[in-house]
Amino acid sequence: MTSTTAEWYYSSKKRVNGPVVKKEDPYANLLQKCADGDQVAFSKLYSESSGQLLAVSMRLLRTKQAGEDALQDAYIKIWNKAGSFDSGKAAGMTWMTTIVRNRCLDILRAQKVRPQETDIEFEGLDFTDEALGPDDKSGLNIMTRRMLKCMDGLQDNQKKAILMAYYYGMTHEEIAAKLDSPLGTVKAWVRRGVVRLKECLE
Amino acid sequence: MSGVKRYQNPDLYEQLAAEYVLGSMRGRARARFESLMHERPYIAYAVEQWEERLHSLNDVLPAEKPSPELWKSIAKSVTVPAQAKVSLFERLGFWQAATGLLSVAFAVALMLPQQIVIAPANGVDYAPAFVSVLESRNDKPMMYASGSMQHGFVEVRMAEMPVIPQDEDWVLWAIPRDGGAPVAVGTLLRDKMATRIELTEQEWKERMEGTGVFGVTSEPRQSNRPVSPSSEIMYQGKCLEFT
Repeated sequence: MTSTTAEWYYSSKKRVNGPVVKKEDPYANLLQKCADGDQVAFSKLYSESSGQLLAVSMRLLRTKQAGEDALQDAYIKIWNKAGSFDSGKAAGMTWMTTIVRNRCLDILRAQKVRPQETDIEFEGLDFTDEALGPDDKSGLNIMTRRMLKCMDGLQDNQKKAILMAYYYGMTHEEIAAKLDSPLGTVKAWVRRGVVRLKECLE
Repeated sequence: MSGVKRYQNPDLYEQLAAEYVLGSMRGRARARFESLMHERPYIAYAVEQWEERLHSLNDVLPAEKPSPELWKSIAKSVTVPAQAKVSLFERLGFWQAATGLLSVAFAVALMLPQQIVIAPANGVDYAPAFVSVLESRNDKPMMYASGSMQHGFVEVRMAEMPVIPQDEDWVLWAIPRDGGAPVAVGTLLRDKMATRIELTEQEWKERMEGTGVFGVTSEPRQSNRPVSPSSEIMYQGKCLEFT
């Protein structure tokens, strides 16, 4: 395979997917105002997004305190980096989620000992079972609905391994211990699950 | 396959991109992959695609309620550089030293004559006793205040809908030009573009007379008018009297 092939693959994907038609993105608008130094917009951005982003950081870091500490760092970065947000590349919430998750993963990486399990850990993946169930999904956006449908098509262990890695930041080793399965098997679940997800989504 | 060409294999870099976004890629492998992302746009693109896909899973997470202290810490960090932290009263001293007949606020006010000169809050035109354009710390006009003792009210109009945390109120303060303590004029309504604060003649004299500057702070929610401000001023504007 040549680098030309790789470049072609990259550009052809854009061609095949066609121009991206996005619904109005309220976060994008607020982020653009933040880039201009608008503190009221930043306050609004925080009010509207912090509940969702705290849910993300709390699951990754296990406690509310740790989740809020990470969120504080993340929002400061969001404010400082708002000028680099490109609404043509990502939705506002996607961009902010990446910043929050990367901060949490940095913290996890720096921890020598994983924190003890908490109530958050015991919540497990029940909330996704409800979301993945046959009930009404009309309140969710198209990508979320597609994603949930594709997740539902995975084998149970593939789905569990992917969700445990994503929501709880668990390494392959931690998932293997949690599911009492060999490390190689867990890696294969994640790998095959990712391939199937991609096929389903495309 | 050589190391370099290895990363041109879509199956491989798609897999790595997914594991990077999932978070299961850690340590040096993660750092190496981040370098690759910066060098190769097609890998960065694959990561963006997986971010869009996987982050959509967060839509099903039940939202959590952050503690009120979180926003306070964030707001403090992004608005006041550490070396520039001053108390409210030091800030007032600065304002009072900064005299000038035609302030920036007044200049902005002149650009908004229809909104400033006549405020038909009660459906009746009136000549305001004062106007003030309150600006954010980066000099953006955010609200203007006007009022009349004769008509017995102060009105504050917002440039855009305020977003006020549930457990806080925004309070308008009148800061005397003689250096006295700030006096709370009243609390701004949440989810409203305008607030009208009714004042008796006595209240007007106590709260409004001799005002040099108006300020707005965010205060813990309470039933009474606060006695003194507990946080930094978010918006401020000079009082321009017409009488």
